[in-house]
Amino acid sequence: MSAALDAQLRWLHAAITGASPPPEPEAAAWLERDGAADASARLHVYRHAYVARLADVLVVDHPKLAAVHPDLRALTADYLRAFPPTHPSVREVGAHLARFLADRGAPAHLIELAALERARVEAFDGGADVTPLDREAVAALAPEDFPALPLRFVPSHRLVALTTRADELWDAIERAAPHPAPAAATRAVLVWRRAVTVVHRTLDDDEATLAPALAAGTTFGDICALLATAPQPAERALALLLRWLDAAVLVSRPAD
Amino acid sequence: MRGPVDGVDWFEVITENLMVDGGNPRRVAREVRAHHPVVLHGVGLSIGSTDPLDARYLDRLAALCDELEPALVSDHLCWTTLGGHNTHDLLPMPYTEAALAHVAARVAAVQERLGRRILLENPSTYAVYRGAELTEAAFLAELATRADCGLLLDVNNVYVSCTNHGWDARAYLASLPAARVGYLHLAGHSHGETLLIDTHDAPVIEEVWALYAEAVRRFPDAATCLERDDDIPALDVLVAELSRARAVAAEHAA
Repeated sequence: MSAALDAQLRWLHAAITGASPPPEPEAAAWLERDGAADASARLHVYRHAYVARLADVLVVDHPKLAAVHPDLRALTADYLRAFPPTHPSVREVGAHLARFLADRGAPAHLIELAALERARVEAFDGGADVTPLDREAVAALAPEDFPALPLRFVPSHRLVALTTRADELWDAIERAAPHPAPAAATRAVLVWRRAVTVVHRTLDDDEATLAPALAAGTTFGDICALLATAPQPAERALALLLRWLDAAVLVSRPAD
Repeated sequence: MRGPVDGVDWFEVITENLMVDGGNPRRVAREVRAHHPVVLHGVGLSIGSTDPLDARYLDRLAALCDELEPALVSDHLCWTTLGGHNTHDLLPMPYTEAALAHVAARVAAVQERLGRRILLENPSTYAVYRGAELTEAAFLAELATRADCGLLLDVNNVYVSCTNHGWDARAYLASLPAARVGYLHLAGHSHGETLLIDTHDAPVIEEVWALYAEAVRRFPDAATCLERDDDIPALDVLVAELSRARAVAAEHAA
């Protein structure tokens, strides 16, 4: 590889992604200029496009956050310097946004809103397409086969742990309803792809305790055992199973 | 989409959007492929970078080729990644002998990995490095010969780059080897403060239609793809624009 070529590319890369543009004499030492535009104006097209394009990506991928965080677009340049994209797909550009906001001391409900929206991006096309387990398949089982029935969340699922009411904020923005006041609340949100549509639901407290097992792969018998201290464990286990089947969020696949 | 799309012969799909495990992008691509030929068009190969070629990217590209059996596989004469940092922009190459040798070797390696010829597109450019030893068109022509690759000629990009740099667009077309031009792009652009910007968000302008007529005279065997990435109108509007391309090609192709 030519050292001169490498130097040219490295200069342009730094000139485009740096916090400040190089002065015109420096730009003109590397780039041609003419009557139509000087070297700085030509470089500006690339500097502007780099941030503007990826700001669009952040806003499109985090529409609810953008609705309540009007500075999101203005933060993009700093975000890209803190977490430069490394993946060929723009899908991954926002992967560290929640962490970036946390590092800058953003309010917890906005950090968690970013995390929830990131999980929805990942569920959109992450995880293989599968045929979910349904009531018909379960109804065909013999009663003695129920305890060993393998259960696992579909591959597209994501679990988001919240310490605020960010889920309620998401819903309020979606419905154009008044926003809930930021407040502490411990809860878990399950995000998954149902057919081609991304959905999410805040889990009941006992359901949230089962979620790690269902993420890793478990059996219906183990689910029943984990619910042993519930007031009516068998009824509760069955109710949850039917809820998950109707939500198309399970596959019958054992743990790896 | 349910069944073939009337008025459209084939589709171009963005490669990187399909480098995912599942979901709607892959479902739509499969449905399109069931009824039409497709071309895989990448924006992330980064063929001109001085970073090593991304083996994982090539693995996924090869898997997509196996799955979709595209008629053609294309990307851009540009670089996007340096030091592992992906700018997600099609950044210009220096038009030097050193860069030509570098890109030609990498194209050959990619073609060896994929087991097929690829095509490289002329990008819209807004800056040219000092010390150029070849014109952009001469660079592309020599690259196609040395690397035994094809060319994807974006007529709008020729217009944008030639306007931005004061080049002669018809001389540009005349410099390209006809046998290497596999297909053409048509698109719209916008006006920046001082330069034309390739935005793919508008109809093709009359000056580009005129240049397209020249292109189909020179490259009569090349198919045409109408590109629109943003502000996408109703399908019948795009099909009408495509019909104009067909009419121009019928009138001007030898």
